[in-house]
Amino acid sequence: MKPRDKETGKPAITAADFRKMIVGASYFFDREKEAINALNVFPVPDGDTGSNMSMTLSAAAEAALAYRGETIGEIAVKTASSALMGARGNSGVILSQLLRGIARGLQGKREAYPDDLSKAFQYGVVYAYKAVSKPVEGTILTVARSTARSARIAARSGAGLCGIIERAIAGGREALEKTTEMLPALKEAGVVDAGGAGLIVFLEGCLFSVQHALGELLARKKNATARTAGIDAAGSGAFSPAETPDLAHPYCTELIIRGAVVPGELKERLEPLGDSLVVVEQGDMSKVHLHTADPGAALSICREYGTLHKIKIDNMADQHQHLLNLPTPVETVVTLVDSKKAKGEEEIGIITVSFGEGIGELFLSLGADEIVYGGQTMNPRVEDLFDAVQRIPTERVIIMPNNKNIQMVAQQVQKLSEKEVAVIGTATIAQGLAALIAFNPAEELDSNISAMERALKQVKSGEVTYAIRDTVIKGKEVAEGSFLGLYDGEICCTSGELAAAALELTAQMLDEDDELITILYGKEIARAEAAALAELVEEAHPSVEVELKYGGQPIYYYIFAVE
Amino acid sequence: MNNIAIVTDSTAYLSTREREEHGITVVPLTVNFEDGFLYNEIVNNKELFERIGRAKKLPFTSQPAAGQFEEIYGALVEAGREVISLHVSSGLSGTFESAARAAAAIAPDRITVFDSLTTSAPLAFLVLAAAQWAEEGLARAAIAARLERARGELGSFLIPDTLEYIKKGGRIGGAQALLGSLLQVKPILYFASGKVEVLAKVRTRRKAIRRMLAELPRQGKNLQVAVVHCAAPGEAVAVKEMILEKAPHQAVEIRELGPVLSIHGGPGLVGMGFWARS
Repeated sequence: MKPRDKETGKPAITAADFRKMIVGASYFFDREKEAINALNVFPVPDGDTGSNMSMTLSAAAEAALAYRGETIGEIAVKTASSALMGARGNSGVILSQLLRGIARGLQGKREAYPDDLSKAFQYGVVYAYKAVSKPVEGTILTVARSTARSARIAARSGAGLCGIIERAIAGGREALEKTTEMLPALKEAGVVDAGGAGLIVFLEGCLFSVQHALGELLARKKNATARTAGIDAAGSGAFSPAETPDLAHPYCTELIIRGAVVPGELKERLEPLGDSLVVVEQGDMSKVHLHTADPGAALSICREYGTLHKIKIDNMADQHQHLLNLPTPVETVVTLVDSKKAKGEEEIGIITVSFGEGIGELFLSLGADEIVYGGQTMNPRVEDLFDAVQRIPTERVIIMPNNKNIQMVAQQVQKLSEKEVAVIGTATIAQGLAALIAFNPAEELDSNISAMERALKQVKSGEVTYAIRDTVIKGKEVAEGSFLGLYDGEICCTSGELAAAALELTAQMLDEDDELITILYGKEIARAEAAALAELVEEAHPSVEVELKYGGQPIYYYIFAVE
Repeated sequence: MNNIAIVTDSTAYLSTREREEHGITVVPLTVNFEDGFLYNEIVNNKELFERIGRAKKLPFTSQPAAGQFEEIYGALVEAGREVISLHVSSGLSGTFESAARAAAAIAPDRITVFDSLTTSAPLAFLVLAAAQWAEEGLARAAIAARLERARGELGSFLIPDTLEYIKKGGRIGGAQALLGSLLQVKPILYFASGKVEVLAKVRTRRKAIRRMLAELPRQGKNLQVAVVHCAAPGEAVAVKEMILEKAPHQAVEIRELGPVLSIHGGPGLVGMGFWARS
């Protein structure tokens, strides 16, 4: 028999209730994430809010499942710290901070009562706002504040657990609908804020879990809530079919090859064996990651290229069993260490987030110590960056996120590590390269930070990518699949032709004071094609020097850096 | 004739007129090619780099032997003169060591050997100032004290066009980190305590020059400035123009580096030397 609140007579909320909510919400969320991803305002491929929040929640659920005690304060703390370590993207970090605030509110309690829960919500909002350096209204923060206010009113009027969550959802939805009017970008795309929608889905998941058995969760249709809740994106009618864990390739196989690997050839040979293949080469070391039904065959192929090390084979079916079929992130973040040099403790270590093997090599050649391969659609977790910071032998570490959506994740590492960690505000690869060049090992951390921040402002960043859906940007119609030129993060031109989009973008970026354009071509571009573009740029801008390098990045056909 | 003789080495790159006007003795460093061919500082850079282009290996430089200094000091002391001998930074060359050893052997109480902690134009500034002070009749100890103070008032900055020569020369410890770069990087180098270190790195030459010029002290009547270059006269003039834009009334000399420094800095190098006299 559960204890009851002395005043209201409402039953206590226990650790078991909390576990059920978090685990259930994680599963619930996973089935709604595509609808939230579709709220992406920018029609370019990037770290999707739905996926990032889902992966963050699944880290939270793992800790909740593993908790064997009966104290709600404890399970909340464990859940929150696991969510933080697993947080991906800005929305993931904010969600983890909400959970941290809730844990703060429940700390020291064996069980909680409705009033405690509503206070915990308030803490959650405070922590979430604190995580953002410049809070913007019309985002998940606005929605969170509104849910907390409604929860407080509900608790005061004597509601129980379900009543509080119901009211919180209602209040949050009201705020969510208004986000469209609060931010111009949302208004233009005709959508609500994705992070805010994610928060509502999370609360729906919590409510559903306390009201239903887990079996009912599994039977739910994908994106059911998001669609009925009007969290439907403009033009996002087609959701991808239900995703089932890929048990055709159950063995997650990871290893390092020491020897002369021809990455293209190795990839070609491993590809037929499974999926999620990643091969990263650095010097005489190559890291291989593959999901396959036949790990033995994969090892035999790898063995032909050198000696094998750190071999790790996991049956993902076990993982799924173990986690009660929790959604597990299958995307892998690979870290590459510059093994050639070992820095002394007193030096300054440099970690940079990157994608594409060519770009990774550029960063290493310029003095980076570790590359965390996350990239545009695969945002690294707080833990990935935290591990990299802890691994580096230096006491002072600089992180360059090279992506706006990784900025907050990096800032969390700053708080977690006992090392002196600086996060440079690099939002693009071009800025990352410029900042790293300005780094001077002979200087102190502070002067390096200011030199790097200065340098990143002196470079113009351009990328050529493609539209993932039809949309209208600044009055211009953009058709799905057309090529987009991004100039300092803004869409500035579109074309049906890749070369035309690239040339138009460079024309907009270059002016008479510029001296140098660095072109990094992506993995889908042939060297000859890139060289032809470089020649065209040179012809059009004879006073500008062109430096062409292989970047090997996915998604961006070209990356431009103009100085 | 005054009683103090001024001696320096060839990396000051004094003009013939400057040498003759003040009676300055110049001891040459040499450039040695693998085939035994040897340059002292008399050839021009055009000839030097033509020869480097034909050679299989980059030549190496060597300091004067202590014996050369002994001969020169011996003759001057015998003629009844005292000597002030100013040289390229001991952080870059063993020339100062050779000179100091020779002075100790000949007449330590009559010869001052001075480590300039720099080279090229700033060394020339010091050499010419020492000569003038000697002509004005200052004693050796007084000149040495003034040189000591002046050494802290010098600035010397270099922007190599290519890192290839620095790499082969191996004289620039702090620049080692630059060498693996897969992207074009232009470092701004400077002399710190007699060694060449990296002041900053940028991607383009124009930015590098702007960054270097930011180090120029505010114009004043006691500011002496020279643009140095290695086989890049046009660029040197352009840098001078940029200095004049900032400081219209500043006198700016242009001095070309000779072979010994050129094979460490490489063709296309531009730089700036100044002395902000107190």
